[in-house]
Amino acid sequence: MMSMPDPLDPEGAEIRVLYSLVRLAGRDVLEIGSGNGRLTWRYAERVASVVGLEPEESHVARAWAATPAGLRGRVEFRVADAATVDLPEGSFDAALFSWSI
Amino acid sequence: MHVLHRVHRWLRPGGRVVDIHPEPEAASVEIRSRATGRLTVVGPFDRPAIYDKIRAARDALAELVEAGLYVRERSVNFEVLYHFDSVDAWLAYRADRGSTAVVEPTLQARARELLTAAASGELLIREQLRATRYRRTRPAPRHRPEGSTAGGLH
Repeated sequence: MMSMPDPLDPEGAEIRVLYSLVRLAGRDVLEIGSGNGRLTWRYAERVASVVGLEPEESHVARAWAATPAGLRGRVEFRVADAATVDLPEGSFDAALFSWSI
Repeated sequence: MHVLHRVHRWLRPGGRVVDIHPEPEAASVEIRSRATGRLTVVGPFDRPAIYDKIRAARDALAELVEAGLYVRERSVNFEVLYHFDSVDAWLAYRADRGSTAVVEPTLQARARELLTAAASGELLIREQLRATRYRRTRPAPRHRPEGSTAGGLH
């Protein structure tokens, strides 16, 4: 089933700004408020791994459903609140807050 | 404890935080003709309920920088566009995301009117954003037993 293109920023302004601010290639990334994976898909191929935290279960379900097969070993979405989730110390090179802080 | 205290522990030394959020100001609702490219401004979309949250988040970040947990390195201001074929599509998108700010009926009506009048028009929502990069610094002081003279972050 084809998903509708996301109406937000098809021009890619946000991802260009993100790349200008931080080097993500080969890095372990934590994305807080990952939603339906809208931003995650734009950089996931570059990173070593990404964990996306999202408290809304429906958004996480959509994110998983949209995960390309080639990225399933690299991307993980969790129904979780960053205020309460348990994560190992010193696990990530970068943390992204996209419209979620 | 602000979530950034937790993020500080999860990051490796020298790790980066990138925060992207809207500026606390109205977005601009516009109609663009796909045929001619002509832009017509419908009006501002004001969301006062989120402005206080944004300012509070900025204050929290500033406190953590002041406390020495992070160093603010660089900020970039930029804009993004939402694209919709209709006002209803915009409203449905907002409902799907759980957005609660009300789109004033007069703004909706004006957008519908201008969209109908435009040659093959699309509805644009233009939003200003700020992206800031922070660098994680020294480990946060650990909690010390009562009676200790060393300070700690709370």
